[in-house]
Amino acid sequence: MKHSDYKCISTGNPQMDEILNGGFPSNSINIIMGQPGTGKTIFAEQMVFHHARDNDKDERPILYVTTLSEPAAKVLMYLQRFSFFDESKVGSVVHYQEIGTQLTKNGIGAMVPFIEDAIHSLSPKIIVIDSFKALHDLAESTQQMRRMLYELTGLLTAFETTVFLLGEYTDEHAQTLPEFAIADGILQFLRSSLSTRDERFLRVLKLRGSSYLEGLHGCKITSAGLDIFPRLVTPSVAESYYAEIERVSSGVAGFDEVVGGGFLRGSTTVVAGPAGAGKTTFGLQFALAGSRQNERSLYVNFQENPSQLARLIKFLGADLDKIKLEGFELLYASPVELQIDSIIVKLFGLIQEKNIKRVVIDSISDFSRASSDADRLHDYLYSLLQHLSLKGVTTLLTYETVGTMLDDGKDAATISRFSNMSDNIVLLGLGHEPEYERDIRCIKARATKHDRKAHRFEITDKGICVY
Amino acid sequence: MDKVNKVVMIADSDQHVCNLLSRFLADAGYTVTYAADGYIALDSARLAPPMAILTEVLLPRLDGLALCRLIKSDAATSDITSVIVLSVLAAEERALSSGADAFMQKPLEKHRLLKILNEANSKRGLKA
Repeated sequence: MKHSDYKCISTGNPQMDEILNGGFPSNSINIIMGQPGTGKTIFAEQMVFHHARDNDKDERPILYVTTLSEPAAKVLMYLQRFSFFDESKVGSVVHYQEIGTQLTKNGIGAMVPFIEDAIHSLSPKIIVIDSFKALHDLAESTQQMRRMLYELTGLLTAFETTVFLLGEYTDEHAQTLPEFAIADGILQFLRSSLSTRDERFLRVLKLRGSSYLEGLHGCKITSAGLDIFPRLVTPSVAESYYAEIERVSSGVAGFDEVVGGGFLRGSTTVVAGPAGAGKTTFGLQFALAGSRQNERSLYVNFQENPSQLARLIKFLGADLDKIKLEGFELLYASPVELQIDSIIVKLFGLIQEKNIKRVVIDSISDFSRASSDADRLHDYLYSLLQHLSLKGVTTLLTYETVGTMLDDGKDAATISRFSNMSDNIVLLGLGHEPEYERDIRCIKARATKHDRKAHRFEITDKGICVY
Repeated sequence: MDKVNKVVMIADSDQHVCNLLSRFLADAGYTVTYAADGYIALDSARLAPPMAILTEVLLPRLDGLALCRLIKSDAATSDITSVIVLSVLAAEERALSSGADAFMQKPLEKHRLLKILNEANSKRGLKA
């Protein structure tokens, strides 16, 4: 097949189409797999109603076949709660048919004649069979199942229709069941429990004839259907390079001198310290300094809610409403509901849309706590920072340490990990008895002659002042 | 032509594909015959030439392209029968150089199939 002949069928979800490099191949057989409650039926229905919405009168309809897992009436009852559902399309464009009775009576041999009848009477452009895996429970033997599948595949390959087989398949099924060998595309839905909440993911296991975005992509179920967050991948390395030498003021009085006149544009700085050391203040000063210089800033916060943050900004002598009009962006997410994938996609979208030049993420400790997979978080952040660096966005990440210094194992290991992806590391200390003098140190500044000494600092009504 | 020949032969080894094609054709008023391999198709066509043969390329014993060449080189069938070659392969060039009146790449769709069949018959002056 010439590449130009490759046609796709959209999933109706732009993010999913991005992951699939356009959509599923037209006239293909695809498996949508996942345990109950992972979102596979919602995904399929959302796609069905997307195609139903754009259907002209003369266009071919869509067939949704239920087998033995759930009657069509029950599927429809719950489907009405989603905004993508359109009752007027049911029966006119989207045809729901049950094959459960025929299957119970005649076994899995009823499937091929049923589909043959459906293609003859409806000529559907899309066929969804939910659940296809349930057919295994009715098969008298593996041989019978293979025979039925062979005949079904022959029929579906000869006639113009795109097929989705839904099922509560596991990873083991994907290795052993024969339908996985004939599938042109396989999409898996997953759910993992993390503390009091669940995280949902999807991944493409197979897509014949096309590249796709590999790995786990976050998703969540909303009243509009599935919200999908394609995994951020590291940008390809440019063949030419440009060594950025422009300095960006930290906005912290007395600190720019410590790092050779300010941070390099496009660099990443980790500001670490215990609770109360002044990390949020440092981050806000950095972001506000951007606003003062007509550089759009984005402050991403997981601890202080917008009201608390507004008070802090006021304490630093700025008016939140006023600076918002000047391009200061706030992104708040509760640490309890924090899903890294959704936050990073939102954050990246804002940066592109608003031409943001300074970003503060307060804090990456919250990111770490919200992530079930430290490696995945690291890869995600690395990709994000590479994108930001290429766009000339200067980034500041705060990290909360447990002790006052970085000499305990846990903090040292984490900081060391973030050190790989950061250009500068700044430590804030609360000081010791009896004076409790706060101190600040820059322990790393890539490509910059910097002052490694500890400097005393105070938090005044103008923010942090370094001496 | 006194009596319109409305017989279409389907040459395909897949029984379900044959069934469905025959239902499409019957809906459009054709009489359908089957051949499960190339030699059966050739013998049947020589005995009673149909109006058209829809043949799959991947046919047992004698493939669809060879069947097409033999039908078109035989005076008994060449003027009577349209041959439409069907395949999942992009074999249009080979099909046409084998003498096929039309080629249709699978997957098939009822209206497209009937349109191609009508066009092939019209080109040959045959009326459905």
